[in-house]
Amino acid sequence: MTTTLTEDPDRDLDAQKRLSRRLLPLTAAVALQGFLLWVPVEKLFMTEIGFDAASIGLMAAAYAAVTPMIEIPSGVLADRWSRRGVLLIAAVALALTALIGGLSYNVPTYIACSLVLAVWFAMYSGTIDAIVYDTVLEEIGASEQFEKRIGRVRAVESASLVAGALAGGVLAELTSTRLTYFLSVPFGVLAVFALLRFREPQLHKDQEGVSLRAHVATTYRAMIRTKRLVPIILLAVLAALVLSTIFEFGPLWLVAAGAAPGLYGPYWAALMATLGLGGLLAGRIALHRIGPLAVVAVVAVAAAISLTIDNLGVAIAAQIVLALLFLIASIRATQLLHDAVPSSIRTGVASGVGAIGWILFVPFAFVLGLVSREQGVHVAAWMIVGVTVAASAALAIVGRAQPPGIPIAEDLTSRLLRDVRRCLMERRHDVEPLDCNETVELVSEFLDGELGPHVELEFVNHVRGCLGCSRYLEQMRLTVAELRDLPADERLPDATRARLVAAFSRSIQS
Amino acid sequence: MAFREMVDAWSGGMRRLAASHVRSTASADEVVQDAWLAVIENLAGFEGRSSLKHWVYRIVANTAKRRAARESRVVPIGDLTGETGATVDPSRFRRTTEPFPGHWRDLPSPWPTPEEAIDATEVRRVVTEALQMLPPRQAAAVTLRDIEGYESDAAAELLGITVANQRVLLHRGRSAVRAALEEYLGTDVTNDHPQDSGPT
Repeated sequence: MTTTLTEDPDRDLDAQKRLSRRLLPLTAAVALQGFLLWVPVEKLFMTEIGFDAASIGLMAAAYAAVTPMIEIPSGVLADRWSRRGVLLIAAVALALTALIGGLSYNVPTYIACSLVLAVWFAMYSGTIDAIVYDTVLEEIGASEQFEKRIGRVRAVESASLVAGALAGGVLAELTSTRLTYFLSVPFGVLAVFALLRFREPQLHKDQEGVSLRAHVATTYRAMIRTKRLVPIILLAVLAALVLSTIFEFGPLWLVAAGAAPGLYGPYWAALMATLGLGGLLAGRIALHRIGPLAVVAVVAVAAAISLTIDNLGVAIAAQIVLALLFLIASIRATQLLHDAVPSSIRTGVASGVGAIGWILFVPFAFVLGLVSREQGVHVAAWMIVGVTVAASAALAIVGRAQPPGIPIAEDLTSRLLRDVRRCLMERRHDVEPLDCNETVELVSEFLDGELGPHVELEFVNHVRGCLGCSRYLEQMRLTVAELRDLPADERLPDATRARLVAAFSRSIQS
Repeated sequence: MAFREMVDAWSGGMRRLAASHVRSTASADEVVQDAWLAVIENLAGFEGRSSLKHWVYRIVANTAKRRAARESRVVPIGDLTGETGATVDPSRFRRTTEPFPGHWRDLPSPWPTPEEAIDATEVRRVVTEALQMLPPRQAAAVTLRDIEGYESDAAAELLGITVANQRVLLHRGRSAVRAALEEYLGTDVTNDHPQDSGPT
């Protein structure tokens, strides 16, 4: 009965629709939080209330110092308490940011505003991905739809960021920069209500509890002791540094050129559009090949050097190119990093790398701000050139590394889908999660299809999330393939062979 | 297929099947020879209900069992003494006292993809050697299942053991062959970050 039901295409369609319906409030919350009217004109507003390049640098440094302090606990909070709860805090923080920003008349209050924004960023980043992943798994029973679904969410987010930037620019031109803050508040509040309508997946709650200290210790050991992680971490950190610099300081080029408020909107919209575009391009540019790699590195350095030229059009184009290229580089670094560490510490390592990036950004932002004030942004741009050269070098060192990927053949996935769904439908789950040393012992039973649906679900769940075990499974399959290809050519001793052939000849003659 | 070629192509697998029942390789060779003689003798009786090869393998299995009984080396069904314990070196996983017990300490290193031009003959040599190093019963299980492509119940019948035990032997055998391949492929030939290894 269950079998016929699950193989019914209408039922697949139902599951798809159910998933879309379930993700709707979450997508709405993402769209509402992307509609930030004040962001494109932020630097303009800041100069209006008394910031100069140095104090902007100081604020960016403060922001960068606080973010990692919140980011790691937010990951732990999301895993141990509730992901929706973390997102709710984020949405409230975003509404508060706009409110405090709108009420700011001097540097200290605005720095407070940016610290609340840091709370939003730390709570928001990464949580959406995790929650979409678990929702897809809970509704469909397999994660294969994840990329498609997260792609849609990101597209909506990117569209909303672009729309918000354009609207914010126009609004600032027509009214005032301050109004863009107040008008952003309702969107944050609406996001809270959208999130309250979202039903949170419960899958992550099954996971093993490990003490926080042990978790952090393992994470840092992995980061420090694993030699081949070093260039990847370096790339991730430097790419993040370039991106943060563009997003935090980029508008200063417009301020320096005395650009009209109306220009900030399209400018910021274009920068935001690179977020969506970079995600689309990331999978298509073969950065492990020497040709594309060289092109990316040369273009990036050339774009950074263009920032030293006093020409607004060139500077905007250069910023967009830099943002796009380093977004692609950072996506590649993230992918390599995810592939290189076990699932249990994956988020931890990612947060750790994020934290290093922010910590590095603190002095950098501080100095960049000072140099910008004393010498102008076009001189400060040489600092960006330096980081770009270093990041391009890291990209080249990571170079030809191939992301190993998680190789589970499609046929297995589709075969499993039925069992996995059945388990989820029964809502019964009496099988403990598997450890790696248990998983490796089940491989032959799995390949024979002899694991029951519940164990098979655990097996697949584990293998999908575990690079070590997915490699092990793939290597066992390769071993079987090699054995199958073995030429059956082990001859008997010549004498025996001759005797047999003779016996055979006799038997035919008789 | 000429008889001569058949003898050459099938005897290796037959010998491994025989060795899973009898005590010595010399005995196994004799079983193979006896089995071939029985095949020749009974060829007329082959009804084509199964493949010729399967029919031959059944003759090997029966001949080997009779001989094992004569050598009074009766393997109790389901006795897998020496076939317990982990198939992957336990030191490769974190201990219970460590964080994330049971998880990989160091991941299995990735193998080069076929495009990366691995030496196919060399790989074949490694697999063949690993197969020869296996305990007889594991070698027989691997031969029947992976080389000959038998289903688990047919393999279990030829080996004279239960399907579950057949799979235990198979898994242990495969794990050992994989370990041999890992030793050859997983470390020096190529890793995923060639620039790390440097001029060592």
